[in-house]
Amino acid sequence: MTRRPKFARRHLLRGLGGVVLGLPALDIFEGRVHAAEPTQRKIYSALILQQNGLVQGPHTGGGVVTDVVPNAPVETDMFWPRAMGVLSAATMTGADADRATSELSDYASKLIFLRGTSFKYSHLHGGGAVAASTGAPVTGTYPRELPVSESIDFYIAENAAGGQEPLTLYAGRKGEFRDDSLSFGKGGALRVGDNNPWTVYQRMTGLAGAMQGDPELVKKIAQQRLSVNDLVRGELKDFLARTDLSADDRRRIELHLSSVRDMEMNMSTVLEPLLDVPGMQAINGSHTTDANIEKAALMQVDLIAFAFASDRARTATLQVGSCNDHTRYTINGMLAPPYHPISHRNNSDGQAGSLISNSVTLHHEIDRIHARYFKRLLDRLAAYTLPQGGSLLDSSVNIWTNSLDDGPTHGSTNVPYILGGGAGGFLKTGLHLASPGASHRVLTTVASAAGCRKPNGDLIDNFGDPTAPSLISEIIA
Amino acid sequence: MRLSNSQWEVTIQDLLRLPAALGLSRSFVADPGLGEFDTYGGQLLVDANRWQDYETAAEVVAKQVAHDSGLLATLTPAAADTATRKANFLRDFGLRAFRRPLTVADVARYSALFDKGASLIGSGDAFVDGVELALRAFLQSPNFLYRLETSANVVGGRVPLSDYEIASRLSYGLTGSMPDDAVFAAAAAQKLHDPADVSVQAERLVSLPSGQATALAFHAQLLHLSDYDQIQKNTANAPAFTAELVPALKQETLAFVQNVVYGQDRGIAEMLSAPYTFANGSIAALYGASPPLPVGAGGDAFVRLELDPTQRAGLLTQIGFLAANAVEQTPSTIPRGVHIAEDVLCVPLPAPPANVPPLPALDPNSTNRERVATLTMNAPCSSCHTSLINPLGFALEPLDGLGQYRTTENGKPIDASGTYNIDGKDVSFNGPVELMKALANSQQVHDCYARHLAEFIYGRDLDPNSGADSLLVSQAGARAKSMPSAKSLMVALATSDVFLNRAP
Repeated sequence: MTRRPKFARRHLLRGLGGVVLGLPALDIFEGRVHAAEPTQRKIYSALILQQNGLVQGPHTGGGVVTDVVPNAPVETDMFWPRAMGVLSAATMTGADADRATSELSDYASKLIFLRGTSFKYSHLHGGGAVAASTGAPVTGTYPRELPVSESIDFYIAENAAGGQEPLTLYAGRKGEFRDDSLSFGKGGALRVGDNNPWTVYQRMTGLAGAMQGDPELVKKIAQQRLSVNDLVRGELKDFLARTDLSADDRRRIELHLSSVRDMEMNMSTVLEPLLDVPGMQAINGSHTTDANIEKAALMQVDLIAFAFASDRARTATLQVGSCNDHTRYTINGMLAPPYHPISHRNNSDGQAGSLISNSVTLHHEIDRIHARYFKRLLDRLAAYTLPQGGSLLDSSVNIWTNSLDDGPTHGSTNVPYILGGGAGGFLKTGLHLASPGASHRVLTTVASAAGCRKPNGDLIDNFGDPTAPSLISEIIA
Repeated sequence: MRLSNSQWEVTIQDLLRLPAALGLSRSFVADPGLGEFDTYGGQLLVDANRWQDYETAAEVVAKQVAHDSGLLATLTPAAADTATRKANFLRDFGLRAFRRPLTVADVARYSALFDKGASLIGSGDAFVDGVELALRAFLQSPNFLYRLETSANVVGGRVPLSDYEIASRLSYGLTGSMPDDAVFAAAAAQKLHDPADVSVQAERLVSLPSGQATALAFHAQLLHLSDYDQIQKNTANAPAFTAELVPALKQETLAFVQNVVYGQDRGIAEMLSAPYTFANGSIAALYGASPPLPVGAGGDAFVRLELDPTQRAGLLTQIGFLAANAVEQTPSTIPRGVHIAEDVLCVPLPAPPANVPPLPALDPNSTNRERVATLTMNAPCSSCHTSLINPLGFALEPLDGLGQYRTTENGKPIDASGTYNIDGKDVSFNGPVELMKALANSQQVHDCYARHLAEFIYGRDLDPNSGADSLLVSQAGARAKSMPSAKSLMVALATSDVFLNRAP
């Protein structure tokens, strides 16, 4: 039976200046860890999803894209660098400073910009997010389509991270049209994201801070939980032993059983300066107000980096906004109209409202806000250095994408994929490329970068869409 | 099926016999909202986050109960000795937590855990510690978190449910919570498998405060009342549309439904055609009530307000629905039409295509109807819009985005005429009142209402390929039209063959 090294994760944070608090080993858990530690370098992966498209002008991504629809207002590209090819920090902050992606210039050499990706099986607000993270065929009817298979975060967790639970997060309001639609477990089971940084933090650390400082108390609580968990596991196993259980019920009970965790998962924690814990507590309960959504999104990004740094998760998703995000951002000190009507360029959730005269500028500024969410992730991951050298950013591959391509057409033939991090040298970074083809190609490449392999050791080539195996070879080092 | 967050919250309150909800589910990860209604427990899973939420909540609740002498006395009444008190607690609380009697194996498991309390918690009171530890397990048990139906004997092609399983279906379907003492007593007496006996309990439950709240929750979800939260009007043009108005608009709709269903014992036909509403002073002013109702402190009670029967009829002509499906003063014709088609007539609509072209530039001399008609006149849009969506939305054109009645737009007369296939034949109408009258008289609408109500109570989509489900809809729909009482329809659905049995 594999024995997990005790508290190896604390070494991750050496040299950061953070305070590290390790708790004593609890012998009662020895031998209870099912997942073996992979021997290869750990690769972390986060996916952040924006809604409502971008301001990227007419479709110029190349390859399989649609023409600009007749009568659509002409918009210029305000998102991408002007030149294809090698990304340059100097150009991004110089000639391309007016583009939203200039927010990421600090990381020019660690980025890959892929434009012109399309969604194959599901589209629009109801299905775009599904396609963005799965690339898979779907079942069900719009707008509640579900993929037939798992999303990229769950797939990597299962195939390259020892089954470690993905971190599923959300920022913004729920209850608008369709909410969670980014992370999916086995068989396409929807995973729901927590949108409250405070409860995410509490769940991640497991116990109140005062308790963590008392090893005897921790041991006592761990033993209590163990006894209760053993009883619950017994009940769940009794159900699984039934021969008349339907396949769906069996899958539900198996998921439930795998979700029952002993305190080993939470028994060490890291108190460090890159989390604004008082801030999380301060907006607890008002984390979905327009005034706090930006703050909450940044806190969720910090929590992703924290989870990676403490090895609580290897993969994470952050869906920002419901599928037709109505967040009212404050832009240049003014409260803007809801984001979704801005994306339509008129005061409606469709095509019939009065014109929002500065909607293109507002949408561009919202694109910049989302770029800064992604930059925050890169900043945080870059700040965590690893004992073997390099940073968490270097050992990760992260995605920023969108459920639509642009606002006025709500199309899905020119979807952006921004990758950050080189996955331990697997990816060739610092590039701006056209990436015609469906989203599963990007996702397959990312899964390979994260360490997913075929049984024979070859790179995987068919994540999401088994009918069209493919990798983007241009970005593989 | 798993308890939803709201069901968990109310169940905890009822299980512990608390006067108010604890509110612990507010910090739970939200339910996914994948189903038509939030009662669709079959789509609710327990992943690691949710399990951790349940664990934390169970620990909080167990500690609170164990260290509250009043609660402890309620849940563990005094007995001749500690062993008897413990056995009684496990038997009685266990039955209410699992919504069925504990098996011998259950008792052995929980008794063993109870006995570990003294060593694992060690407060100095072994009984209290045992209760706390056992409570933690009861509240994390799949027997508590799921509504399990384990009956398996097939009789005549179906599986009759046990009395306790029917007890849970009844209570969650009609009151959103666990069975009350009377339902448990009926289950214990095996008085919950005969439809006549079940009917006795169902009739009682639908009229309880929790039953009324559940019925209102159904109508709130059917009418998408949460959409009202998106109402945002420029107060320069519509000064009455303040943030405070939104909850009042919701209250208007709920007060109206409450009156129709419980005050008058009527159903969907009345809801679609009534020439009155329930308004406070602020809302009455929006309807142009004369004389005005009092506004402000002491004058905000919701009272019946008669409306102009030539202008308005029922729920879909109330200001909340109209304003929520509009941008500023301009009606959102398409969402209005989609709502009526899907939610009132059960007309299935396909997804809109991607890459929808934008509307032609706004012509100040055109009407909203003309713009929408132009946008949707060509393929592929026309296949759905021309016959399935637009006519329903156009009928509401006299009621603008602020819910105000109008006869002209941009100097042109409002055209609210249309034809729609209802009950298998083309029905012509002109304006909201004629459309609502046609809907209220329609068998298709009553079938649709019965179907939605069944889906809410049963917690699942009805299967169009199931003969039993299809028969249920046609029978319930016919009953809804001939006996227009929503309450009696709820009782009929809760005593149906589909409800009292499950598929093998």
